[in-house]
Amino acid sequence: MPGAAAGKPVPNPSLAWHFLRAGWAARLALEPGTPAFEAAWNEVLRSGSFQGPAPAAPPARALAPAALALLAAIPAAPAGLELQLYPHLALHDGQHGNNAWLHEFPDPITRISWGGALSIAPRRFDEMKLANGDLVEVDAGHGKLVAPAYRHAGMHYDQVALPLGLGRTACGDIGGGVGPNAFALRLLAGGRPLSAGLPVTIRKVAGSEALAFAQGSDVIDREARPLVPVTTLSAYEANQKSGTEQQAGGPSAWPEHPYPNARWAMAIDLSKCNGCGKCVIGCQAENNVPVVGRRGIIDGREMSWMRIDRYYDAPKKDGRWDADVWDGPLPVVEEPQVLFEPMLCQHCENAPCETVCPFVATMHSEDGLNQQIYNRCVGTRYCANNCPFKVRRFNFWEYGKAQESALFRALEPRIKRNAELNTRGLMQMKNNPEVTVRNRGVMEKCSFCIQRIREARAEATRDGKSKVHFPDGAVVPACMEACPTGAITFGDVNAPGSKVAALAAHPRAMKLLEAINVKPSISYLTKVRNDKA
Amino acid sequence: MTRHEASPYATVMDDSQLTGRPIVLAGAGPYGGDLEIPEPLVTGGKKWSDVDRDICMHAEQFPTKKWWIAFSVALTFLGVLVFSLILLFYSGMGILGINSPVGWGSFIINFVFWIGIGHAGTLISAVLFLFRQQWRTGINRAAEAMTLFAVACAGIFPIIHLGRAWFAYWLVPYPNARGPLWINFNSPLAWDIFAISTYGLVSAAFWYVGLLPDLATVRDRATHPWRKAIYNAMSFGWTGSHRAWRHYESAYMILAGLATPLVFSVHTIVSFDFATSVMPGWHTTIFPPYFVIGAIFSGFAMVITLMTFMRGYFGMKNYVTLNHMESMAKILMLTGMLVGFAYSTEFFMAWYSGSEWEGFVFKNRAFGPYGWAYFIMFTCNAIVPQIFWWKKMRRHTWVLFVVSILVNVGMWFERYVIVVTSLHRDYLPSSWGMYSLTRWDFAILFGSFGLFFTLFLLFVRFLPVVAISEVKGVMDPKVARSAPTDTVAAVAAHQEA
Amino acid sequence: MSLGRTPVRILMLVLAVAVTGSFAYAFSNVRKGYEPRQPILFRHTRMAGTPVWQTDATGAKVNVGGFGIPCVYCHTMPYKGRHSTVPSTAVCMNCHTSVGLGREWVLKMKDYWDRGEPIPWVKVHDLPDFVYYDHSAHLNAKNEKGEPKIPNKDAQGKPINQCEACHGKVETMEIVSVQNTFNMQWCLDCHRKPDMKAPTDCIACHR
Repeated sequence: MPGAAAGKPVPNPSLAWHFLRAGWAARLALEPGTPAFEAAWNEVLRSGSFQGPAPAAPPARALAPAALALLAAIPAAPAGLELQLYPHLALHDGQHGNNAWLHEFPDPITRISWGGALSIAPRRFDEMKLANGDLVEVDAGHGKLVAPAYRHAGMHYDQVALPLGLGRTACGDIGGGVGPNAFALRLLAGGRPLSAGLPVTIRKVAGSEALAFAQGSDVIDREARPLVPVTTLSAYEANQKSGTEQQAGGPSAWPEHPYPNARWAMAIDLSKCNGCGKCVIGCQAENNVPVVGRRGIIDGREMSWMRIDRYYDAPKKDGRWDADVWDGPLPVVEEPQVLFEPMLCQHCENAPCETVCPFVATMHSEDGLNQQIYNRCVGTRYCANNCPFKVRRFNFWEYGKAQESALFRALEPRIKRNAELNTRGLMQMKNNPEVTVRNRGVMEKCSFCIQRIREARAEATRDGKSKVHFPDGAVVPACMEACPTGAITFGDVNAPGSKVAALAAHPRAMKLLEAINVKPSISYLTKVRNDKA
Repeated sequence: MTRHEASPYATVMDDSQLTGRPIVLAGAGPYGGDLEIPEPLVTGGKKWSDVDRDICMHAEQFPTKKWWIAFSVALTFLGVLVFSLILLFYSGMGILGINSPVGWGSFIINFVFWIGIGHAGTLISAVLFLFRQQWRTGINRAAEAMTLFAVACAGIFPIIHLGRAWFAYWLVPYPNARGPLWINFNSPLAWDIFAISTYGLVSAAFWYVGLLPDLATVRDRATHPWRKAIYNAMSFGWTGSHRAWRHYESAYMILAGLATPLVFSVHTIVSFDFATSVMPGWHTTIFPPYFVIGAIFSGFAMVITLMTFMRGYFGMKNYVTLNHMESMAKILMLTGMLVGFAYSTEFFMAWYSGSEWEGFVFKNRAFGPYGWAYFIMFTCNAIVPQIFWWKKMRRHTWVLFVVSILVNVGMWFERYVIVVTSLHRDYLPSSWGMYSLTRWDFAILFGSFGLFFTLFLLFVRFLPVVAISEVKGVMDPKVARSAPTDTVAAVAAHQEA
Repeated sequence: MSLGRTPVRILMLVLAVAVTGSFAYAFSNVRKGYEPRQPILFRHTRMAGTPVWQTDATGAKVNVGGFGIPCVYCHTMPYKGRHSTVPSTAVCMNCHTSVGLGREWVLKMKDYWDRGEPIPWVKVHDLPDFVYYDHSAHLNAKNEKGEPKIPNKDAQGKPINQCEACHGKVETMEIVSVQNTFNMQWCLDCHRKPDMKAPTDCIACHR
């Protein structure tokens, strides 16, 4: 406090000061104001630590053989359908049920966000003549639950699964009433909760509930669409470039961009990517990416700049022309080969988005970025239409501030929901001040964390370092920072000896859609599957 | 023996007596062969003064009940449009059906639809003028008005489809203090503003210059001093002198010459909005001619629809005769077959190119989830107009009307198929999605028809709907020059018609 | 009948006014000359100005000019970060616990201090939110010869504040006012100088 002399309490100190002293008085069992307390208080303040009495030694614990007998009480595997309850990947048991980011995060395998579904094996699903979202009643004997059905590739015919952590009713505006509450089906037996191997019957009931899928089609025919570099270990050993084959592009009518100094590029190693999706959340946290809610995902207005595409590999197993479409054919989805591909703005050299923006809101920078200038964007959406990777995100609604008019809020309930999800109370404190908060009508996309790049350049200026090339680690985008396996590498590809340059030049590296000559800055390294195990 | 000296039967016929074939006088030709006299373009034995009266009458009387009913319906739809636009500006693009990946939806479809409709008017006014097709005189005024109103309807869509429409003016390269910062001249949307604004201005100029003598006619017939003054101002004080006519004719010729290339260039530029992209199904060189032909096709269909109303409710049967309708039906069929040819070429090229992306897009168009739209498009555009191979069908009012409506429906769906199917399933299967129109999309679509018909009904109420001076020029002077028959009885008789 | 020419003439007049008006608007500027009144009448002339020594009536030497406090004493961050930072009241109290007591504005400032309330300064150089200006990148920028790109010496070699280049001689201002246009054109005028080698990418300033 201003004007305070050491050791003497100050007239009219703040409530917080009193509160703190009262807490310490309780801990020390001394009265505030007594010399003993004041001495102890000042000592704590001076040293910054408090040495309490040493704890007593813990009592010895004996082995309880009686507990082993309980193991025999595990019920036998059921003959028919069995239920597996699993913790939702993002929400776990639901303790953070009011966290919009966790709800918006799509499950890496089912790609369902804002809810959960009963995962059913494809053959059983087709036999029951279900469509994704049709309501199914699960009867576990001790409980029943109605949940939407999902055709889950690779699921065993005799098993169904439900995620735990959804269906909370009293957790706030955001997470209340999202998804089915699978705890209703959990069995308490022998004093323990059982979440797996529960015998159930399922039957289709009337009605359906739209599932918020964050992905379009699940299946990819890599011969028709060489978009994911995948190979096997034997093929790789024979030819290191195996898996990167695609149709070559022709000559370009555009002159090449000169990159005299630094040039930013990224390499994503698909062998390391396990599809966890932490990069998605990291990007959302760093870049003020708004939350669109269940309705937004169903409407197709997802805002996350980064997504992890999960494909089931379908190399011409089915000869149909539309083999790539949603309901993957049984031969593909019964024993699926899963491919994960993080997809973000590729910062193409010949970006199709750059030529078509009439307002010059998106163009190429000197260091290789495809810039998106929010204050210039008027929102024609031609850039998003022309992006072959569909990584551009348009602000269809105002997510940055709440809509004032009561009439329009009544006409359009989604406006109210957007405010609940993004702007209520102190939510705006989560925004990164170094990143623009975009208003409606503006296009946004991955910027390679431009704010971090600019900060690195400013730091180089301050320290008098060269800005011609940047060493590895000078700029770490949020996705790279969040990735637990180190699958993402980012850096200056023009810097001699940089990691990203080495990876981009590696025979495993593939740049997507060479056929249309967009020349992305992101290299994907082949996923090498071990076929020798 | 000249055409004008030929049989009087050629010049005094009723609309119902027209056959669509020239009148053959055997042995009357200059070398003893057959002489073919084309049927008159204005039937009913009209005099030049009759023309004035018949056409100006609608602008001089209080509108009929039919007009009021039509106008209130149109005004209602216009109100729906205005309300929807207010909601759109305040709430955001989210009220529409567009999403990721389908970033363009009904607004762009409507834009291309309306601009396309406009092209027929310009073709009739300018191109047929340069080809000296005299039959155009009965329909060119209304068709050009249709163009202008269609361009007005179309013009709102590039503005309202913007996410931040209040900055639309940045697209105009005005001097500014940002560098100065110009527009991206590489972008087809930037070309659009030049194309559409040029088209709007030239069409307006062409239409208005053509209107000047006719506005003067209305002025000359006016009795109330205010009416006289207003129409005088509108006709720029037209004197009718020889000099005035000379200037008029040369201005008309120049504007026709300016407008002719616009018929082909404007929709070419609009097609570039799609053709210059990399999306399979859009990235194709057939788009410019395909769009232009399609535009003329849909425009003529709209002209046929409007002329059916004119003939039926406005007593214009003698000026817009069945022969006019048949000529338009022939053009409709020609352009319809060209459009069908374009569809087949697209399909052939999708296969022949060997491009996986292109082939998938076309199979998806016909057999995918939007196959119903493709079916409507193909049936209405390529198959329905084939009925016009039969002359009787070309001259049957109801058939003409229904076919013209179906053609416009088909052409709207053609733009739907083009815009939606190429976007909803493109390169990466993970980004595939679906698109459907929301109630506000429908409101704005039908509201735009409200705007169009409001403007057209106002045109019909206040301005001469047929080019009086031009029509007089294609009438047989021997019949038309006689004394006026402006008796009260004759006027009353005409009002019954 | 010349009545018909009038509407055309009116139209021409309207068009001329519209075009002239848009040019005028495009090149108008609202920032230069902005001189807002601040809640505390802090005088940069007295604090930062150069000392002017005079002998007063009693023969004592009196400084009637300024104290010559360098800009960075109060505005601590421009060389270290994006923002130039208005100082907290604690910086004022560094001196004013002991000097200037009893003066009108010092008393007003101390009132804010005692209440623990920040002084509601009016931001003079306010750029739109979509402009991300970085002071440290500008002030620390050096050319190949190692000289600062924004000069810290004038033509005669005397040291000057780098801040002057954009903010003018603040140490001569009774009330701080905006000395330059501070629009994009003005920024680009310097950025486009070939010897500056400054970025002209949009994303350098408009993230």
